[in-house]
Amino acid sequence: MTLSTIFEWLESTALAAVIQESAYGFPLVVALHILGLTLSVGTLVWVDLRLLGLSLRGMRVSEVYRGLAPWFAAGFLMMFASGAVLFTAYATSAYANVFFRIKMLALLLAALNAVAFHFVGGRRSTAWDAAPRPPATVRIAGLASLLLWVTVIVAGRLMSYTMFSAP
Amino acid sequence: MDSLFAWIETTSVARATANSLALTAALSAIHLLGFTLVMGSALLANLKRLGALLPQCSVAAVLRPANRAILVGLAISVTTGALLFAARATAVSANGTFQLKMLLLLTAAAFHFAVGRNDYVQRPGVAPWARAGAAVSLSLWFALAVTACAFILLE
Repeated sequence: MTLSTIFEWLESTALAAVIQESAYGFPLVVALHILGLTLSVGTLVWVDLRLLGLSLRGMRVSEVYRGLAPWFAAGFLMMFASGAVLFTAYATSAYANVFFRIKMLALLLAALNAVAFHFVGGRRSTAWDAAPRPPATVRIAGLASLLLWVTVIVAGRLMSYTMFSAP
Repeated sequence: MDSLFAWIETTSVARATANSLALTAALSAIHLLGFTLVMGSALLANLKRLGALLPQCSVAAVLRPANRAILVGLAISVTTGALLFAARATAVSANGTFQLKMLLLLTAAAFHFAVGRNDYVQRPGVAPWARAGAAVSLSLWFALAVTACAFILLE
């Protein structure tokens, strides 16, 4: 079974048909995708700014993280679910699009960065939890997250301009 | 008014945007980045005012950077939005969803900063009126986001 047969099967599902054919299916799911994005990345930015030591310096890193976590988690759930639904409808053309590939790569790197930070860097967080300016490795993780999410958003927006309009 | 919009479309920046899909796409990507910052910061500010976030720190300590970031985000979105508007001024200004979007933008920003001002006073509890103001402010920003989605998707 090749990727293209999987994509063709996805595009033939009833879910894909709703997105492709109904007048409001597509705009509704894209709207959820964008709202999920502003909710998730919009709040995660503040964790990154705190890790960078650029804002909310008087608060503990763990406090900012825990306070915002439910909001960015809910936003990510919205964004991933709606993104998966959109992918089923346009799997073949999305996979072929260069900006989609850039977006997926940036998304993967952002996830790896978060996991690495959580399991490697986060272990010793008590040492710098209250520090206005965390150590360099922590600031690098914050900067990487910020840049990768900017890449995801820009590539995602460019995708919609290059995928659906005639060449 | 119509002749003004027609004139805007003839300016060199408007024509440059209208004639380049790459420039239009880049501007709209930056437009969305700015708006993401606005929404995230509006959420941070108003959730704090509602008493739903970061109980250990003062309202002012959260509101000050959040409101500053809203202004930065608005500056980015309004600048890029103005250029995108210029390219199609006549058609876009006549669009009902766009008119609603502009109305909500002005209302949300004015209301947010009008009711937010009093909160700069550092105090431990959050008064009920401040909570109501925060709820209205959050609803206005959310309505703006939904209308912006409707404008771009249902045009």
